[in-house]
Amino acid sequence: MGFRMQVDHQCATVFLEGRLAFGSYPDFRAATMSALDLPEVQVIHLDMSALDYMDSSALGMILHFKQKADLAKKTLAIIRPSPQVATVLKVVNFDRLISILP
Amino acid sequence: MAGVFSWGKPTEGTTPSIGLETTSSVADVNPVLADLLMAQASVLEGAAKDQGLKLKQAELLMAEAVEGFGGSLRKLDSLAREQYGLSMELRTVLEVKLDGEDGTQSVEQFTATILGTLDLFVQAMLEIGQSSFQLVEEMDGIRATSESMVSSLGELAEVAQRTQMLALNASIEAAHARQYGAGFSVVAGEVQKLADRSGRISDQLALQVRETEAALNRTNTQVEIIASKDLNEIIRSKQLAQRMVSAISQSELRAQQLVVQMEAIGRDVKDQVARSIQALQFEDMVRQILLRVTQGSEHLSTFALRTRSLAEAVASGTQPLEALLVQATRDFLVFAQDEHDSVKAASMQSGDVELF
Repeated sequence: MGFRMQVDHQCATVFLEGRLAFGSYPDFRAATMSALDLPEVQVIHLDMSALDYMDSSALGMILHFKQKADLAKKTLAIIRPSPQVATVLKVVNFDRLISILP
Repeated sequence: MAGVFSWGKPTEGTTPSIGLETTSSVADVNPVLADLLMAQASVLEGAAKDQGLKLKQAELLMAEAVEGFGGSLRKLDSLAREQYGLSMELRTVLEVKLDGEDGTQSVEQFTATILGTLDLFVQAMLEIGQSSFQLVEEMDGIRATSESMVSSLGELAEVAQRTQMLALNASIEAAHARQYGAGFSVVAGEVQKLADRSGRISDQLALQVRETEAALNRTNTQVEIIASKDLNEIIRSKQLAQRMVSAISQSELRAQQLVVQMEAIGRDVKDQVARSIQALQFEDMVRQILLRVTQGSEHLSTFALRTRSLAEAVASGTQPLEALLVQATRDFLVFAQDEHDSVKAASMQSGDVELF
């Protein structure tokens, strides 16, 4: 299952759905790297409104991607996290590492 | 006008009676006056004796009451001090001390330590997760290199196979040339050996590459296990820790408030007991008053004796009536003055007494 991506001017949004875990990495990498490789894109949003579950490896892959985005001098943000995901992000204080927009 | 007084001595349960009859002789008055004075002396003596008995009874009752009340107050004071001590001990107990590397920790510090430890754990988990995907990408790179090596090894195997075929053809051609192809046959044999050796090495390398790929797959599985942790347990642990900390803090706060209230009550009790003990000084004041009343009773006894002596003198008729009247007046004035002094002293003292 691939993750859908949508580009609007300088902003690319990757729509994450269902479960995000270690096995999702190939799809995650494919979607995010395609957004990162677009020269006109300066901001990348990870839309988590349809994401039901994420484990610690999902957090790790997001941080790993952020490292790449930082190197490419592009901005990464999480948008519209679902209630379940918002709880996880809050418990691990993820907002200290990545911007989280409602 | 002259008269005769008659005096009926009181018997138990009756009141004294006084009668007045007119008379014509002064000499007839003496016996009656003597009787009157004697009766008056008897009443005064009885009153003084009765007063003395009641005074002793009052003094005894007061002493018993003061002793009992004082004992209770001392016991109350002791209990109040013990309660105050327990309050202080409880306050010390509530200031929970936990052994730490740098001395002691309060509940707040201990709480901060627990939450800080959880945060450190989460931070380490995130770092491991991030590093895991760095590792995954490194392994993907190795896997790609391995696949490239497999491809190269395939080519190498093909070269070895073709070399073997070439060596075989060379041997056949050398055989056709008979004695002229003997040297070429040797070369073809060596080429055959090299091709065989190259093929074996290629097979070994292919086997090692497959083992490397298998090891990469196993490593990938281990990395997945390390990186993948269900966060729900951490969420539950953190929420539980926060709830416990909140409950402990509230409990500690309430206990401290209660201790403060207990201390305040203890102080009030101690103050009240101290005031009560101080108020027990009324015993001295009452003793002084009783002393004055005792002195008054003694004055009454003295006055009764003097009245009895006067009555005897009147009855004997050996002294002129005028002299006896002077004596009676002087005795009365002395008695009245003593009584006045006693009452005045008692009333002055009573103004300083603080009673319950």
